[in-house]
Amino acid sequence: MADGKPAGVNYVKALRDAIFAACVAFAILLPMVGFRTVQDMSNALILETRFPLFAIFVGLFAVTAFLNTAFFVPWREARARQVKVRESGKISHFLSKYFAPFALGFVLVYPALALWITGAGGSLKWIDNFGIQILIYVMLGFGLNIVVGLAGLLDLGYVAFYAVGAYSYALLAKTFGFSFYALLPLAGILAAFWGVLLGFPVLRLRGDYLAIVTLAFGEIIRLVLINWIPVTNGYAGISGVPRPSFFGIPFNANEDGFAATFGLPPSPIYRTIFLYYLILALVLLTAFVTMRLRRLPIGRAWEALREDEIACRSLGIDTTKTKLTAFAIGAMFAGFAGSFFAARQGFISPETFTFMESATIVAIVVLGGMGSQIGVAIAAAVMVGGMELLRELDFLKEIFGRDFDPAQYRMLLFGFAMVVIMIWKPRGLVSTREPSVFLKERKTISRDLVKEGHG
Amino acid sequence: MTALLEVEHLTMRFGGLVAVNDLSFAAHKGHITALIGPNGAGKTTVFNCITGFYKPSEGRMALRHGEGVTQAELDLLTRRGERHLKRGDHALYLLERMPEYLVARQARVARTFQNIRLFSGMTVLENLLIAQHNPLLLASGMTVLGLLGVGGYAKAERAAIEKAKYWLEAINLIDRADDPAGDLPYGAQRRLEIARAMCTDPLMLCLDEPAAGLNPREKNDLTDFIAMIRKTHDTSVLLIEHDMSLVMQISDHLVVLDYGVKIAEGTPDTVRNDPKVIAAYLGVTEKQVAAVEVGV
Repeated sequence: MADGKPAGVNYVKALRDAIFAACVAFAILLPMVGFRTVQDMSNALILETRFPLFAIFVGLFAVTAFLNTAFFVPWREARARQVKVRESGKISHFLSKYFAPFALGFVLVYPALALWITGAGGSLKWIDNFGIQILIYVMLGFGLNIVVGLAGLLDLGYVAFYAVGAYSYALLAKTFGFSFYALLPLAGILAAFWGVLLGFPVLRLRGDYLAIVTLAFGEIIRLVLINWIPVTNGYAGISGVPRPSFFGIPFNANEDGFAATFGLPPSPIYRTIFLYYLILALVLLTAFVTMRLRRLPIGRAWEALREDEIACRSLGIDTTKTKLTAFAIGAMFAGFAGSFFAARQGFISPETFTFMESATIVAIVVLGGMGSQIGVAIAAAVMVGGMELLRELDFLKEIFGRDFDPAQYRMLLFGFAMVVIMIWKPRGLVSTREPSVFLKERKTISRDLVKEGHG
Repeated sequence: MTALLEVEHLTMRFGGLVAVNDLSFAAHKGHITALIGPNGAGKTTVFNCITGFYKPSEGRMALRHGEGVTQAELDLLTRRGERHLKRGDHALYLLERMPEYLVARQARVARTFQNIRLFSGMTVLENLLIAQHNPLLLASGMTVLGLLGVGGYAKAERAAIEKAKYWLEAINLIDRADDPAGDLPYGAQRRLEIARAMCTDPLMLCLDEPAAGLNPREKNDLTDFIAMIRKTHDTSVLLIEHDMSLVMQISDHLVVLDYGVKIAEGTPDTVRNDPKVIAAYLGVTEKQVAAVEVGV
């Protein structure tokens, strides 16, 4: 291969890899797919075998491994030889110049598009489950991006601030009847306060230790929510959380409701569309604030902190305050997102704020490319939207048999997709850094030089 | 003339190891003071104490801005347990009581590192702007005004960029201002680190082996650069360096350390001929040192 000539397809090696993959798949999938326990009529547990399905799975693995070794790997190597020098900034440049305005336009007209294509009834799912859900995660991703991507502090308990925001809104709105618009900033401030509170004890920790303590913090908040029953109502959660109004006009079928006021036929779609634009406004605000912060001294200090904390201190930067502001501002955006979530859902319980949520948000930031907003937005759309889309995989039933439930394999496919992305783009989708200031020319910086931070 | 920095009885212990033992010396304003000694003599430890990265076990390090503070006031400040005294332009700082970022910000002591510590993923210009973090943060109204776009932040940033440009021209890197610092060749990184330290407007610049790993031409450039800093700026230099020709050429005053103890002090000429210094560097036996000492 060293002479650059395309070598013939090595079928023997490919076959060997295929057999190996089949063996591994056989060992792993036999207990997971081959057998299943079901309850019969008398509630007794019986063991059921699914050998045809199991065989299809093992076969799939073998074929994939064969194709990979026989065709994909040689193709990739050939391409790597051809394209020696690649513009590292090309993708990021393309993204910021053409993709970002297009994406912005798309999210602005998305509800109208959904209405037009699927009609009032069908669009509810698309606007709510896809649009709003994705935008909430985009917002959480942007917030965590400040802490993890810019300041380089790995926070695995970010969902705690999301929970603080949600419960702040739910409790204050139910108890005192304050409006959503008054409580939104308050929820943000409360979450920021908890961010600082978490920040203090973990200031001296770095890397893995920081990650573990933040993880514990997330669990503490969740356990408090579960066990402080007089206030939080425990597992049962808080229901009947007041919904946001259209600047004073409630969304209901009454005479003073939104539909009646504007002379529209009553439909639940108005609220959904309004919520969509509300979260979109919050996301854009977050993006705008983060972008400005990056160009201000504090944002540059965050990035410098990620690069080299000792050098920061030698230049007179108070790293304590810098870290705390990163925690506080990151937490504040989670607080906003949390109160929006509570207002949209109308019901919250500790079940929502599990470690899985934190992990998803961290995954969004890492997949997107730490520090990159466009990358985070794309990653959120792919991860959250993809998870939702996997619910719609009914066509798989044609392949695997009628009693096959595709939704059950969401996590498997999801994990597989993550592995693929991390092999393909180890530093995330957008793997370059845009400098915050330039003298003559804005050159993007290759990720190889940018540090990930050690906590 | 009172000293800019007066180190008295500085001792630093790490558990049972005495890295620096009862070291006293003074660095004068406008001088280049060099700290030399064999590997492991405790030079970098002294630097870390002065710049606040280590808290010394014993000793006092007084840094004066101007000459308006008397010895009696210094002693009073020490007894009171306070950190600093400020009277108009004149001020006195007890460095052993200050955390590193305040040593840099208030006492205005800047430093470089033995193993270069640049922000490698940020551009050369960004590196120099981060060094001006504190005045810029103030100009951005502690971020709040800057976020809203009111106040004079844009103007302050332009001024900061002008200052960065001045230093980039001084170190010959103006054409690479928008390149990541990690992409620069080694010699340029060394120069950039010094320029970055200078962007904090220090009264005292501590350079930890600035010539390490440089070729002869780069060493010459460095010598000129340090001389330029001393001449055109109100900055005194404290220097750790192994390259004796460079040290002898530019220093006004030398302090020689060996095993954490000061073994000699003086002008380059006196130190060069000091038998103890020769012994420490050439590694002769105790007996020979004793014999030389008797002879002296």
